[in-house]
Amino acid sequence: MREVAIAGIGMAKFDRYDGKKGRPRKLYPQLGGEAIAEALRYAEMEWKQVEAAFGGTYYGGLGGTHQCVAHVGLTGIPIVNVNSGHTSEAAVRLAYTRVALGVYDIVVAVGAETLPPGLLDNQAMPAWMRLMGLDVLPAEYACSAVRYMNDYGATVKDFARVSVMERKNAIMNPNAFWYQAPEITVEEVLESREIATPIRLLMACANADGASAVILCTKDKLKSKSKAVTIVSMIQASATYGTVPSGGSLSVSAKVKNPDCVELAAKETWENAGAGPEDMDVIQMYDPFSPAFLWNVEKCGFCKRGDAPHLIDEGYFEIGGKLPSNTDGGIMGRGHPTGATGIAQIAELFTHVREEAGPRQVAGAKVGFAQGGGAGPQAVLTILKR
Amino acid sequence: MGRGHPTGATGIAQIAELFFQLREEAGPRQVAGAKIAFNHCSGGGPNAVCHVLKR
Repeated sequence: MREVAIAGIGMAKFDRYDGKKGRPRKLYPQLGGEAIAEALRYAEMEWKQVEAAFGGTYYGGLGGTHQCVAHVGLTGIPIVNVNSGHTSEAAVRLAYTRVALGVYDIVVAVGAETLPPGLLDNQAMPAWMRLMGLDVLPAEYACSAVRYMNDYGATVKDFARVSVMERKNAIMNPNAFWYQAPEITVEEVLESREIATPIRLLMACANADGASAVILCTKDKLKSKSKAVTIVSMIQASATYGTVPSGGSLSVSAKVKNPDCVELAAKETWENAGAGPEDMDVIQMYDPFSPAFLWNVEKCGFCKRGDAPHLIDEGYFEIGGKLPSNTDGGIMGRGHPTGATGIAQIAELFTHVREEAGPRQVAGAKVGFAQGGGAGPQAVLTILKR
Repeated sequence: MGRGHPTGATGIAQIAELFFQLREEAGPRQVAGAKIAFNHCSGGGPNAVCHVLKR
């Protein structure tokens, strides 16, 4: 396996591109094209150097990555579409393995999304479950949250603190949905509308549009070798029997014996990466509903089961805390244009280990970890280092 | 025109047919002595994938 470097990242700000209230009207192929163009500029590479493209959207339909690439220019390269939970991070892993195995030297991965408004149709669920209304994501995460509260004594205040932390970080991220928005308080989160007990509106992510792209290459193809960022590990897993396809998970408690995809991928990561959770300087967690932040840091091995609620209260996961997390605003603050989220997490780690994160920079960050999870169910865990 | 075209399943159906021919398991439609074969698929994207298989 060859060492694989990240040459550049690009983002189309996570926002609403619906043509309303003075906002521009843009669809995901244009946003994806803009993200690819920005990643190329960062890498100081030309489009004709890129040998293959990998990418995905949830709701873009057939050949979504082809449509993004068409906005940059049709050069005849192979384009592979991935369609599952955390689709863009899965696309990055596919791209990464192609470069590592010597198939290509320079590739791009892109994730882009224009989300429909309102409650999302969860296409990862079997038809009968969707027809019976069992695909309602807030309700699923609410079930998980209740189980987590029962088994570990977590409270709605702990969930609210996740939202408050992430929205605070997003204020400093120009690509975040809630960039420069006012801070929110625990009280405001708890007083926001209840959407599925115990989940409140401000514990759920806003529907957002956006795109993210990353250029991967062998180290010798990097335009500049200074502060080179390489991929240490990228592990993907699906679930074992007993977990639901939405990615909403009952294995929020150690009392559930079947390991879910995040636990499987974490086990493989720490067995093979030559590093442990204690070595990570900055982490990005997947939390479409804020309680998920807490059980995901536990499932990834960053603390013991049931400890995350105490740690969030102590400021452990804040920028300046012991383990800075979701520094770009996470899903509560950055927003969650589903297909674009995975690469956004990787982009944030890249920005930190290159010390380019501006006011939200984690001092001295050299190694970063991202946890992607979602419908399938599917988990992709990534470690980057400078 | 004959096998039908359930879009997502067509590509591998073509490869399966070549596989059966090369292994001489194609019964009454067997191409006598087939040892090497070519597969072409193309469609929306646009997207084209070609394979050469042999026994």
